[in-house]
Amino acid sequence: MLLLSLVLAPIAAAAIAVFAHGKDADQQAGDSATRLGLVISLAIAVLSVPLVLGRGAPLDVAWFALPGTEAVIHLSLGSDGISAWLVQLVTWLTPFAILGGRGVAGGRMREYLAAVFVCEAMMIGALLARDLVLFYVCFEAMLLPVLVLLALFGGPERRQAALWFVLMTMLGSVPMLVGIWVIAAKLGTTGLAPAIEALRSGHLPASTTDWLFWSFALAFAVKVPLVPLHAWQARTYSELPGGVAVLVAGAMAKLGVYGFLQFVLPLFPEQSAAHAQLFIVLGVIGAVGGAVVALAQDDAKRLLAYSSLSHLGLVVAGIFTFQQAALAGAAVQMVAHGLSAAALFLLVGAIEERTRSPYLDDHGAFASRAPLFSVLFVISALAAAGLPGTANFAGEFLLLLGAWQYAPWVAAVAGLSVILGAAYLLILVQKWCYGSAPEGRAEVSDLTAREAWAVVPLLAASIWLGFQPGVISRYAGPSAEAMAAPARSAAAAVKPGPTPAAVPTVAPATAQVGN
Amino acid sequence: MDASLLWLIPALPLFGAILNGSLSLAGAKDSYGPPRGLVATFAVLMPAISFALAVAAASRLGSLGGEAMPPLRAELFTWFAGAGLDLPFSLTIDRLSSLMLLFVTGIGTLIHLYSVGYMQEDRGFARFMAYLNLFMAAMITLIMGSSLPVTFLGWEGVGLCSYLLIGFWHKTPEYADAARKAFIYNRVGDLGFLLGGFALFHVTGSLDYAAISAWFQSADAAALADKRVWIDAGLVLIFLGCAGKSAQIPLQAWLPDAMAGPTPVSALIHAATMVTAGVYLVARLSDAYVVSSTAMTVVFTIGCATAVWGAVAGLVQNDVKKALAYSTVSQLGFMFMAAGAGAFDVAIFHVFTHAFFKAALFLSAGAVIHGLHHEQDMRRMGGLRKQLPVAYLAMFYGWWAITGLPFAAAFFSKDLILESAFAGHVHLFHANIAPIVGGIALATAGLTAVYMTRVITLVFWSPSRVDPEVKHHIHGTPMTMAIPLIILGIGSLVAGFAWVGLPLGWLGVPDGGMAFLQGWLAPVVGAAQAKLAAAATAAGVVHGDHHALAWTVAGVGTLVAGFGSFLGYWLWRNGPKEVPAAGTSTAPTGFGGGWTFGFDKAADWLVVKPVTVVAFGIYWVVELAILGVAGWLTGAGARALGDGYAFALQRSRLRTSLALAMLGLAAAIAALIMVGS
Repeated sequence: MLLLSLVLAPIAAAAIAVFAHGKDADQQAGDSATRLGLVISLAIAVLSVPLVLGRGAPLDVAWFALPGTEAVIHLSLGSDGISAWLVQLVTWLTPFAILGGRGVAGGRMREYLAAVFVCEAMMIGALLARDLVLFYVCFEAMLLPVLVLLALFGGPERRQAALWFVLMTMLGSVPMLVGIWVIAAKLGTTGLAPAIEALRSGHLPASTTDWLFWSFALAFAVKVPLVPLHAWQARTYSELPGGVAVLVAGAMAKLGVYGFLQFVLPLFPEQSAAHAQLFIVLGVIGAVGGAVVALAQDDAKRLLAYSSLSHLGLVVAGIFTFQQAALAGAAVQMVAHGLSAAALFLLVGAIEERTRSPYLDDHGAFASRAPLFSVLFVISALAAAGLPGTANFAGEFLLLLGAWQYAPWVAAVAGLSVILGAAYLLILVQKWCYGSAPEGRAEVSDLTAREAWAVVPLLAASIWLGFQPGVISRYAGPSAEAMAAPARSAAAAVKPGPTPAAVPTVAPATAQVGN
Repeated sequence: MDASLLWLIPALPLFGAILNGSLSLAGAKDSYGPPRGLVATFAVLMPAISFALAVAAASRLGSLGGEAMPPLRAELFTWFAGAGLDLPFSLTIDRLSSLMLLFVTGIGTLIHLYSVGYMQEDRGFARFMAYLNLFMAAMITLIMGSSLPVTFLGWEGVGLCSYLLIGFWHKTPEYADAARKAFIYNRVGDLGFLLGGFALFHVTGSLDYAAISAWFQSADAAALADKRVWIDAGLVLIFLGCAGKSAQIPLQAWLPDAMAGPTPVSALIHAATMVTAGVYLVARLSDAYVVSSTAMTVVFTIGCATAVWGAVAGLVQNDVKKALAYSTVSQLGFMFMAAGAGAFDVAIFHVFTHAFFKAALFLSAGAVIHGLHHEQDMRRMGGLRKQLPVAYLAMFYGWWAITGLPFAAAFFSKDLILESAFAGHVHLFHANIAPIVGGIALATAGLTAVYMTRVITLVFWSPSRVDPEVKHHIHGTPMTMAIPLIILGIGSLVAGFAWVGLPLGWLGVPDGGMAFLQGWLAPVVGAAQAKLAAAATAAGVVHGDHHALAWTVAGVGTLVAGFGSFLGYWLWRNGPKEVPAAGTSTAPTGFGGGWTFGFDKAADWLVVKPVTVVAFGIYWVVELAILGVAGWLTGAGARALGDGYAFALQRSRLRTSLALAMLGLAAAIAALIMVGS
């Protein structure tokens, strides 16, 4: 019941927000709605904590039959290390999305709350769903509240952004819908575990399975996004208000990575193994290319969008190495990136709210004009750059270690993104915090207590996890490994070593680390 | 001093950093800032207690000359777990780390004290002290880390503090640029550190220094041959990390720019402690380095090349801090030369003596700059002996120590480096290049005497060229600055005796005689050096008479140093050819400029410009043009199909939208069901 209540609680919260009485435009009513939303979202977050302790009995109730097939859609929910930790990310980021949205939402705080809660519910649903149809519905439905938020509170280019966002993610996931349909029709089940079982026993011809693999992979590749399907990302992120970006960049992007881990690898191990190199290359191109392009940005939010492209590219590359360290690192890095990206978007959002400008050249000297902002901004940037002592370092370290064990060149090339990451983040810090203020710019007030409290816990969590990444990797690591295990065996069966002819002394992919 | 208290040594300065950082932030709106006395007391006290603890810990490692005791080790908590890599966060004090720790906390405390005087009038006093304390915490972690990742935590931590302190006066864009340059150059090296660590992990199955050393000590020839590529690549990559941190070619260009930071920072971080971390790491991994002749050759030749380059660049500088910075680059090259020749203890010995004399030189330069109201151009100094006697004394002692004149610090440490080079066996294309390099190093030692004498001549011995206006208002040296100057000055004179240990012998300490420091470090680097010596003997290399070599090098070295000093004085005794106006650029021009900035130009043309072009190229061409057109086409298609349902939402209120969304969901499910029937 824990799992079901986790999905339903935010929906109930959204209903409360929608139907609650009170004048929208009233500042006090807005503040009280914020407080209410904050309390509810924190309660949901606390409710989700037992998941990482392994609690939460799976739920599996037959729901309705899919006519024309033998498939019965189940209300099937389950949890594992990866799901549990990503649910933490979602539930714990929601309060910060609410805090960060207070400024931009103004008199429409209840609308903001409703959309945020619906979005939270759909993300939790997608993370806990163990039925393909249920997953798909949640996976698609989480777009709607984001669109609503974009339309209501987005930047001046929001029409363009919404178009890119909807079109690309929909075009990406329509083939997956067909794929799920084919699975239901041909295998007679939409449950995840039965589908894995049925696919493994070879009910489908290889050509169909190949096609199914691509239909799933495409949907998730758009969501992450992977190069070259990332065109929506910078355009969308730059129009999102800070609070919403917390949800989208901090949490939602991880659903794509999650899809690869939870669905693509277990359902299609042979295909995953066969195309692993492609995904590693795409991931590394994203990691390095995203970082290079971030250097060319004059808009802080676009810069952060390309930074996300870079960091998540590395995560996808790590996953497809099937190495133990990289899989644990992927879990850590997803949480770490969620925290640092949320902090950065909140801080950039705070400046944008004050000045209507997210541009690098429009600001300067915040170190003396807004010291509290500067301290938090510098720490967030350093966390994003993967400074040791932050969770991002723990994640990147494990990812690069796994990449090195797969093939040294992957780690060496992907490692360039670590250097470039320091470069673009320090340029951002230097432009905004140091130097002198550009002429003709009004004074910028320092962060309010509310804004500061929306960032400090994120950074504290990042530092704590930086020294205790085991909190995540002890539970999420083995889960991720279990998901990748069939693909890893398939990769080992296809060729003796993961790097043919490159360096013959590389340990086979199946070898345990640290022996 | 129990092992369970080891965590206090890095934690105390960290606590000071948090405390002063909070005070600084809390007092940000105040026009004066937090109370200076309080800030200063905490800032100086914390590293001072750490120093006391370090002394207590060192006493647990065996008495002077007595039997070696096992290292102190404390596992604080589990850092990495559940990822095929179980790594405790542990700290170790052995003979090597205790030596580093003693001079880092000792000299560090003195420089904190000096900073109290130097930075007194700065608005950001509390912030400065917080950064300095944070640096101490990171540097101590670097030294005490028992494994590569813990060291890396400190390694990037000191890089961060270096960044924050170089850019301390961040309103000046050039200073912020210099800070960023330092961080990024270091990041390049840090990637090498990481990848090299991975390679060693692959070879030895551990990231812990003790386990890595044990593997290399016990590995047989077959195991080594099997992993040859990994060992060579890993150690060269780790040396790349050392080159970044310790400003060696090709990553040396950040250090001279780092002089943008306040002078105590230059003394503490960019001379005495942080920049020697690379030498420390090579010594720490000595058991690994000795089995890779490739890596040793790289370390040796890069060290020599950097020593030469830095010495020549030091000769052409006009800014007193820049001259000292290039001198640091050059001296670090000497240290790596020793390490590359297999004399790790000598390398650490030079780290130790250099910390004293370079800190003394920088701090006295700081006292001069302080006295002359921020004048750094040596062409506009001269004749300051009377006005700044303490600074003069400290620089004189530092000069005496660095030139290698008897019997100050570098007379011992640099001679030992030259000796180890001449006696070394470093092969490049199967030829032993060590003696040739030794010759180059000897010449460079002479050059060191020339440029250093030039500095002290231009500042103190030549006729005064100070503005009369400034001359009447020279700031004296306050007591907080004078005390560290005197202690460090005297330290520069006597630090050399740590090797020969003579005074200890006179004091009646048993075995306090020759090679005291060598004996102290033997438990850590002795096995590696013995292995090299045994290999040389096994290869049938005929040694000359080492005793004779030592005396020859000492004699010739002293002559070269004396001649160089004389030359430096003779050439600049009357000051520079022309005295520039106030505010003139101090950057060297002509040959000096080309030599100094050649690497910067190369980096600019080979890396910065291409990356910038590629960045904008990809952004404009791929991101905006190609993907933009593709998106526009898709969008136009969608618009032709319908009026873009996304935008209909925008006009309606949220409740309608949500109702629509739920309707859509229901419709989707209904459609699914119906399609099936």
